[in-house]
Amino acid sequence: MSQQLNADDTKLANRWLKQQKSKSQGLLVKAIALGSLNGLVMIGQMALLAWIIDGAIFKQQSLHQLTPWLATLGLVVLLRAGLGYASERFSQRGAAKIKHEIRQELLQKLVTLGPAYTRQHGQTALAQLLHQGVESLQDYFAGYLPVVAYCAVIPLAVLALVFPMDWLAGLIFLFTAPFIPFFMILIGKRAEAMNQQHWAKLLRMSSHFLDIIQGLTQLKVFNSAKQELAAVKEISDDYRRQTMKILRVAFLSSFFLEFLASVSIALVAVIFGFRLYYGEASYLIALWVLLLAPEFYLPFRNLGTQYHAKMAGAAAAADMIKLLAEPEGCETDAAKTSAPQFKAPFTLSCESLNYAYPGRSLTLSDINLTFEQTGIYAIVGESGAGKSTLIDILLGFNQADSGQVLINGERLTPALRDQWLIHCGWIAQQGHIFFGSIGYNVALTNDYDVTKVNKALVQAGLFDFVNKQPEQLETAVGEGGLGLSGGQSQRLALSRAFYHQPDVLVLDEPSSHLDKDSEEKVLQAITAYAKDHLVIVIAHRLHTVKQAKQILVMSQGQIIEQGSHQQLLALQGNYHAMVNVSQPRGGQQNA
Amino acid sequence: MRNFFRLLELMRPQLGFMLLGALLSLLALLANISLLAVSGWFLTIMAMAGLTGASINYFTPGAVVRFLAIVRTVGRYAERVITHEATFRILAQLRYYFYQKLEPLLPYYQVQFQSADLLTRMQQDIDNLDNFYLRILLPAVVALVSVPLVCAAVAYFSVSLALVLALVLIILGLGLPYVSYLWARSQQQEKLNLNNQMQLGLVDGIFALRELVMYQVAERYQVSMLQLSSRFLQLELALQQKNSVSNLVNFLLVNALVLCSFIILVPLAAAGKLAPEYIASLSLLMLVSIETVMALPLACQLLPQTLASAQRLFDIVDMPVPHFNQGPDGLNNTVAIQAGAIAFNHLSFSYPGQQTYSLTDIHVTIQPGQKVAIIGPSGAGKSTLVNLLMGFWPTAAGQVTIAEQDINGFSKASLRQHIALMSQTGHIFNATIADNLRLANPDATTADMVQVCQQVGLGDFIASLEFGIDTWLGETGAGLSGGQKQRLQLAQVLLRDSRVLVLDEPSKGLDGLTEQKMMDEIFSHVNAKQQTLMMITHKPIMLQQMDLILVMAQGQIIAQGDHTSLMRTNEYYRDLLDYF
Repeated sequence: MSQQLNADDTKLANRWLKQQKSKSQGLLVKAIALGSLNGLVMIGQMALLAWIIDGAIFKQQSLHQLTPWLATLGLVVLLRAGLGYASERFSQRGAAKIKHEIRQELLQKLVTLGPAYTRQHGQTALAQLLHQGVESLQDYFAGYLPVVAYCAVIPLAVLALVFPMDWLAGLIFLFTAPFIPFFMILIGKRAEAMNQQHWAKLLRMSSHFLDIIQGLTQLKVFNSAKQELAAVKEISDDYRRQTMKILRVAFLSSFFLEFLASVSIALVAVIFGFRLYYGEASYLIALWVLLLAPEFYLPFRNLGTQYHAKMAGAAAAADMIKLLAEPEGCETDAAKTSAPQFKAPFTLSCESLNYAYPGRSLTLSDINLTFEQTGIYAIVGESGAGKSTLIDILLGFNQADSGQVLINGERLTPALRDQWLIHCGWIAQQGHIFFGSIGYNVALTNDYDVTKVNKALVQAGLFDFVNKQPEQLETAVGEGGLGLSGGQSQRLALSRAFYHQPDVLVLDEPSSHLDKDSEEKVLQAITAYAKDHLVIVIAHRLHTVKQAKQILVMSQGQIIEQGSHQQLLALQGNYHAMVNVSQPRGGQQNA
Repeated sequence: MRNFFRLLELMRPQLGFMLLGALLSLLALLANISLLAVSGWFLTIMAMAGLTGASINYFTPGAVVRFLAIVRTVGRYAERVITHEATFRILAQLRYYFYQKLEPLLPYYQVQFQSADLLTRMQQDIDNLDNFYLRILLPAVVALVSVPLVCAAVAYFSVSLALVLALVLIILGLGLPYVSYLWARSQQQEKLNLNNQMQLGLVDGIFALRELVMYQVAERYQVSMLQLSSRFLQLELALQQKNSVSNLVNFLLVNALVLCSFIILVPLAAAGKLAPEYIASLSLLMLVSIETVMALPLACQLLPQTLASAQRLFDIVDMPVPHFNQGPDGLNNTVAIQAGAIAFNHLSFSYPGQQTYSLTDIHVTIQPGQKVAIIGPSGAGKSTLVNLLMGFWPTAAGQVTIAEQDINGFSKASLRQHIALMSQTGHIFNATIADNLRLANPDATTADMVQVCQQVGLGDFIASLEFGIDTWLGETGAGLSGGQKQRLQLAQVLLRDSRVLVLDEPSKGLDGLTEQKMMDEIFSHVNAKQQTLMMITHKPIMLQQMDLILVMAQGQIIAQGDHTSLMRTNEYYRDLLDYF
């Protein structure tokens, strides 16, 4: 999320961000309109101020005579305060609305794309995008966009009003104004180029300190902790020099703005001073122009401070565009309504499936298989053999590049995914614990059927444990709640499946040793469930495969062996080798 | 406050830059404020002279105006450069200090640090300290000097206006921020909570998207997340409203100040106590005087959290430095290590600050060249046992000896030279692959490194990288998968020229066939170099080739022997073999 964007991405991101403005339903427009109006009233306020000073000094008006004008100034100030407040509020509300809608869109998109996508693209990064990523748009919409508008409106209005009053003053503004965008672009470009050059290096250096602290033990193991001490100083100094090199250029853009604002004030003061001395100008106008000079440059200076908001917004937007542009298969509502009702029992088959992850060689090639109605089907094979990918395709989370999945002879299409999933259940390798109560974790809703939940817990062998907790089903688990062991989480996931009674249960077995008691119970429960249901297991345990109706051995994207435990052992092939790796008791001393 | 001064003390070497920065900052601010006021005054006297036809010295004021314009522009630029320079110098200073202080404490206090999450918070804490000079100290110093200066200048013309000005500046700089802090405090806390909930909810949902979709609760999840998002945004809006109100008060007060200046100054001028041209300059001065305190609200906001960060960091570095003086020769641990048996002699051990023993009565001898496996459920004390060999913690009850010398008596450097450890919590640095390897053995040639990478099965991966072993790793470079990190760490310890190789689950997460290849490599390496091998593992592969297998549970060795005898006698051992 923090990588540097190239020019095309930035352009695309900025265009997309501007399109999102419409989501505020006019709130941002109102904010900008009121803010601009505030700018116009400011010009009047300054005139009034000049008028009062002129009156006090040259017309020698008493406080009493000035009172109506002071009162008017007070009212104008109140008006400006009101306008400023309203404009801020509208922009904040607009930004909130936009953020909410973008978050909604992103969330919807993620659900449609499904877990195969999120796993591939980094779950933490996606959560981050939906959370902080969306929040980082706040400053773009509530800060940067309005200021851009004011940069156009306020200086123009000042020019338009000053010119007819005093063309020379107008010329001073007009003459210095074009330099602003010119210098800003020039210096901005240069700073950006330097930034890009040094970006990776800077990032490395800035994280270096934490890196070595986290690795301190490692450094000690290698006897080099003391040497690092010198490096800490050296790298920090290097970091300082590199950053300052960029900052010195980056500060130039504000230097020029500062320069122009100061020079125009000085020019106005000196030029008008002499014109006043020779009686060629009116004091009122001179003072008014002097007061307007800083305000004329203010929007540009504000723009400088919002530059970061723009960069952060564009960076987050680029990731959002990528996500939203992801193709979703061909889901249409028409297809949904005409979808057939799937009916248990199921016969699930694959016909010459091929699949490759983008930019990689074939992950699955020519897969043909059939799962029939009930019983345990075990899939075994080394990591990266394509087991999870095959499961994703069977469930409709991923689409095969060629070949098809048939459910009772009906072809599984993206449009049918949700229809099909109604009949499926899933237990992950590490049973996921949701933040909530145990009851919620089983039923995935807070108004669960207590009897049904308890029954599911009994089946999974977790009932006694839950019953011992003071709050029973209402016991909080997950982040900050009761800690569950690996085996208990697994059994909780199992009760979740039993509660929903899926016709097809897919299970990714834990690959490392859990407590023995849990494992026995899980295996027994699954074996019982498989009597009336189809169970597909990615298996890591010999015990499980021994009980399977059929075992599929996968290697490098292909099914290389297929059959029952006894049949496969008799083949003396890969399966035989795998089993012997885990069963060194056979007395082969030559491994 | 103690922390405040302690921080100042740490920054003292950079005092010159800090003061210069403050001085420039003050100059630029005063030039900026007076530029408008002096310009207003100049216009007025020129207009007066024009009207009366009197001749005046207009060169000096004209020059002053131009001078102020230049000081303001150049001063602002110089201020920025110098204050940032000072900030980075301070940053280097602090980092050096903290590293120096932390170095002897880790991993001795590892358990305490991890449970308090100190190391993960450290990044934020150090970042907070980076703010200390630029966003807290500097604005405070500038305000402390400039506010009295400006008020004194105003008092020269009108004491009552100066008092009003001082009052308003104090309200704007300190009063208003404090009131809005009190006003928004409970909502701020609630926002943190909601923010946390949203983070949890999103991570939870996205990690378990498969479950959500499969059990048809994705829609309900979306609805509840959006409700949460709405609540969060509503709260954020409420807080922003408070902020807007405070902006509004700010704006009103500054303008009221201008009105006040007329009310005070006009009668004063009428009474002849004030030259009328000063009405212009003083009222304009009121308009810009707020710049003296503009950065204070942020400073007030940052101060408490920065001091809290400092407190946490000081708490860490103030922990007593561990002593290892139980060796036979007391202070000078210079006994040379002889190759020989490693013996744990009725060793019991608890981590500093912990009540319970992590190891109890460990008694076992490992002969040179032996291959030893340590197995057992997590939490059995396996990692503790091997980490003790690195001399991170002094052993109090019982003894660990190498060739019959207590390891407390060896220098840490020679101990770590003798034994190479691949730990489970090992760290890969944000540097190139070659840098990481060279860390383990500074004398390794490129050929050595390439060869060892081949050995651990990273050869193909590295060949596929554009820059080969010079590829950067970590956040800003190529990412390594969990398995690849492990192999790189294995490559590191294989590069080290040690007598004893200690591996903590080297093949965790690898599948059987890959694991087997890795084990073959390790075995041939150990055999070739005649090293002693100690290996923690959960996997059954090759156990039968081990000379000794230690089965641990709850800090004790509950069984030991070779594969055949354990198969007969130990149930845990038999169960373990059910996996592939």
